[in-house]
Amino acid sequence: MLVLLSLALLTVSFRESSNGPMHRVQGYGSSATKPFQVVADRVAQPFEDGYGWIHGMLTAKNENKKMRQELESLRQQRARQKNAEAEVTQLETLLNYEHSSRFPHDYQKVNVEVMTPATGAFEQTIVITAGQNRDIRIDDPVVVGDGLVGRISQVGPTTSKVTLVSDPSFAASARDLRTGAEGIVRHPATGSDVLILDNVKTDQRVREGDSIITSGWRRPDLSSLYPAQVSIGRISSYSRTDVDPNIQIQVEPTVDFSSLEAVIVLIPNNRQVSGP
Amino acid sequence: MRLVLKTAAIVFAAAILQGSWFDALSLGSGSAGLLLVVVVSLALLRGSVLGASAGFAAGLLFDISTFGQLGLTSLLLTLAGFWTGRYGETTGRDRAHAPFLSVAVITVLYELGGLLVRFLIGEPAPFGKLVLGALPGELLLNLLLIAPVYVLCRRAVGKHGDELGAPEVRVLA
Repeated sequence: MLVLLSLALLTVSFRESSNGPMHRVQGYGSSATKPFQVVADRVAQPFEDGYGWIHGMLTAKNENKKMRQELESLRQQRARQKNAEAEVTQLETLLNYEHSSRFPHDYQKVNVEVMTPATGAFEQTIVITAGQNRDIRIDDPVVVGDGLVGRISQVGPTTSKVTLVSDPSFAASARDLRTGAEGIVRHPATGSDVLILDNVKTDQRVREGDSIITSGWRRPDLSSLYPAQVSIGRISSYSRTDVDPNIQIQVEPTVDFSSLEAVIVLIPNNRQVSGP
Repeated sequence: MRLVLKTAAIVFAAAILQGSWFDALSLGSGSAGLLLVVVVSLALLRGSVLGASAGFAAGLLFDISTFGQLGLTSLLLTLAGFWTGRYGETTGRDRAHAPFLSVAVITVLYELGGLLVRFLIGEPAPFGKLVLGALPGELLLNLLLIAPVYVLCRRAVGKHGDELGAPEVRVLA
């Protein structure tokens, strides 16, 4: 009886759309359990902080050395970029160039706490503590300071589900910051922890360490879900074969999905004007 | 009635803790399955009917609170609770190793079952990632959890037959 009931639930919830009655009930149920989850998180917080402090002390020396090197390299990079940016702005003004949506200018930020961390070997999702009450909708992009986290895949009254970049169902158009090579970032079917940048032709000269960012394309009738120039990761390895017209590129995500405590949901500015 | 209320409270607490603390407690890419361990413990202590009911309720609550695929965890935990309960009522009765053996076998079957259902409904089902990445860590963490959880559950709901107060009868012939 219970097995049949479970199968019925599974079938109905699988077949209905994300706005269907079962999903709505799930949204209300998730909101109802939210206070208990928040209390459990509050209780766990001092222990997590204690572990974090000890771990931080043990790794601080190595991390400090690494950070100093990185800082030096970023300072040089920043100087180069400032020159390039000034040049680009000047050229764009001359050409009346029109952009696709850009982060952070074209979005409002909703800072939210992570209620349930990413779990399991199959589905890479998190639950956050904001939903319709903060005007969050399905497909809204989610980021942190380090880069792209994922997109909203289900919304309840006060909670939402975020499908992470590391989930097998996720895909986003992306490009190599240095070469401009465009492709699609997705999770490989093999279940590896790294991402792959697909559909990049073999004539593109990519290198290990290249930054991969969202391309944020826009056409007259539709546009990418994600704003342009949000960091996704760095190329960790690549290979070319004679039989494949595309390069096999592996991308190490910049965001550590296992330790997300808070994220930023991006709400497009233009939606608030045209939305209900 | 008291037993049902106690079981409901344990299952509710386990579902909340699973979604907050225990999902973050990971080894490799496998995380501790408190909910599964609680269902196995309750089923061993109180039999297959309570095991299956607790499994269904626990799965439903977990899927609701984490926006999971509704019915998936319920189906797997119902079967896990029922089979463990049957084992506890028959072969595993009064065996000291029964909780450890049950949780090890059920953890493997639970994950493989989840993989199969996902494959059948057309969702990504990475076998290699599960077997090489998540399963060893999850198995170890669940084995570490079973002893304290089993003791706590036994204190809370008792063992089937404890309330009769009858001494064990052994056939010596």
